[in-house]
Amino acid sequence: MLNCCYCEPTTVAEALTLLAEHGDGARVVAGGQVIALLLRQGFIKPSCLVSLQSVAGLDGITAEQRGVRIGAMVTLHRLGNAGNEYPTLRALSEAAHTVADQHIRNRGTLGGNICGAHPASDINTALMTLNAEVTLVSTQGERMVNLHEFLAGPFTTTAKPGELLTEVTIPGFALRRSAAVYCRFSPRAGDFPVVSVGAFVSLDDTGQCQEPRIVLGNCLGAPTRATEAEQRLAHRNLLEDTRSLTEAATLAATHLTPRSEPMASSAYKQDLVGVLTRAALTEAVARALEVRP
Amino acid sequence: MKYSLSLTVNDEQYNLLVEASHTLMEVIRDGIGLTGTKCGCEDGRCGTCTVLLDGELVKSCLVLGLQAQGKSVLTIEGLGTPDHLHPLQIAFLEHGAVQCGFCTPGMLLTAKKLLDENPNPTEEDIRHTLVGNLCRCGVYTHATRAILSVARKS
Ligand SMILES: Cc1cc2nc3c(=O)[nH]c(=O)nc-3n(C[C@H](O)[C@H](O)[C@H](O)COP(=O)(O)OP(=O)(O)OC[C@H]3O[C@@H](n4cnc5c(N)ncnc54)[C@H](O)[C@@H]3O)c2cc1C
Ligand code: FES
Ligand code: FES
Repeated sequence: MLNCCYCEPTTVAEALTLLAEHGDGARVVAGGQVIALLLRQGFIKPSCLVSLQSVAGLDGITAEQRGVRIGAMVTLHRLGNAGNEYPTLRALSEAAHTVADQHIRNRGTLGGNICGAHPASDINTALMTLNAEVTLVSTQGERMVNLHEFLAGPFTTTAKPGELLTEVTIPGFALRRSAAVYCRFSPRAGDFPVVSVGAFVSLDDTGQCQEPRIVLGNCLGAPTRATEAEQRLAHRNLLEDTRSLTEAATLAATHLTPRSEPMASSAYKQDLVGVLTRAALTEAVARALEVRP
Repeated sequence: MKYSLSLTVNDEQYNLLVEASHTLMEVIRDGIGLTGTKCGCEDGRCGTCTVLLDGELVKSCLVLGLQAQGKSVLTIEGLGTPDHLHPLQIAFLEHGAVQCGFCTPGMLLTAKKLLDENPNPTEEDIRHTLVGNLCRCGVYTHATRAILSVARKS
């Protein structure tokens, strides 16, 4: 029998003190959708579970000058609707809406999905597409890091012991004609994606693409930028040179060798990357122009 | 370490001693003895352990018992009784949506929540909501028809 205590602090400060006291033995519980499983399977043997469900102030969504800030305890269900109110979150909402099923989205949280660091996480792929930053707090202080640096590999993050992820910031789009899109494929609804792709484009007044981002999910241990494909789009006029979308999709597909899985070979995943990248980019350009294809 | 847990299940108050790692499903089945909530996979995939927690659909194998402290749970035993079946239960029987019956408690609670929120669902809405409830006997089409029939009647 596991000798483990359970605490339900009501403030972030209390939670941080508990995490500091218990060191490596402490485990944060958000929605519990991963934790319950890990405990049962004996993958983790914490000495203290620190539940965030009564901690005040972790479930807000606020728009500020530097971007939209989303609390770690916002549920995936709520995120799925947030795009209606906050346009920059639209791709994130698309991703949240496809996670598992209604039951899991009701309880699963933004922070839990990020920190669970599943290689196929819809949320992490979408967040990287949006260039999200995470805020990490401990008794030692606070730091903000780009999600790209926070995710270290499959089920691994660079969080230090005692750190709590309190919120995520989605920076505003610098150019008006900007849009992000999230696409994924799974043979059955409710499953993790076999492959997913997030695309962000930003067009200046002449139609030139600035700082595009293409992020591939479930290919390597963590979502990965398809940098060669991005370079193919940068400074191209996407209104005139529509071939570059196809070329970028081809580059994305050959950019890396995806991890093969029992149900999906590496070559199959590469094909999917090509198809999804093309679709995501086409839709992103259409959205940026506010013209439906 | 054991903790005292008090919660309401089907309008009855329970006080139990539970371990920090016990799931709500274990509390309901082993602690309280209500075995209508089924244990299919215990890893969140099948939905046979579905209950309503404070009115919200959850998979009880993915909720820690202590996370339900002070909350209210509806299980299949609280949906209808053998003498007074819930309209969804009657419809499931009439439409042949019960084969082995293992997925039925979870599906019924999911269907109840759907109709509470959306009394007039389309077939697409129903399919979308049932994503989290697997049925090895493949009653999906029958269940969808059963749910539609209840929606039409009310
Ligand atoms: C059957 C099934 C299907 C799924 N399908 C998908 C899918 O298709 N796509 C997808 O993206 N995900 C999927 N998931 C994963 C699911 O989205 C996550 O399990 C859920 O979002 C985790 O959130 P949680 O709040 O329940 O996390 P918890 O289980 O509470 O925590 C997860 C991990 O993060 C840590 N943690 C949580 N919050 C914080 C915080 N604020 N600061 C620091 N550490 C923290 C915990 O200690 C733990 O290690 C699936 C899960 C299941 C069980
Ligand atoms: S037993 Fe809970 S989802 Fe299968
Ligand atoms: S009726 Fe047998 S599992 Fe659904």
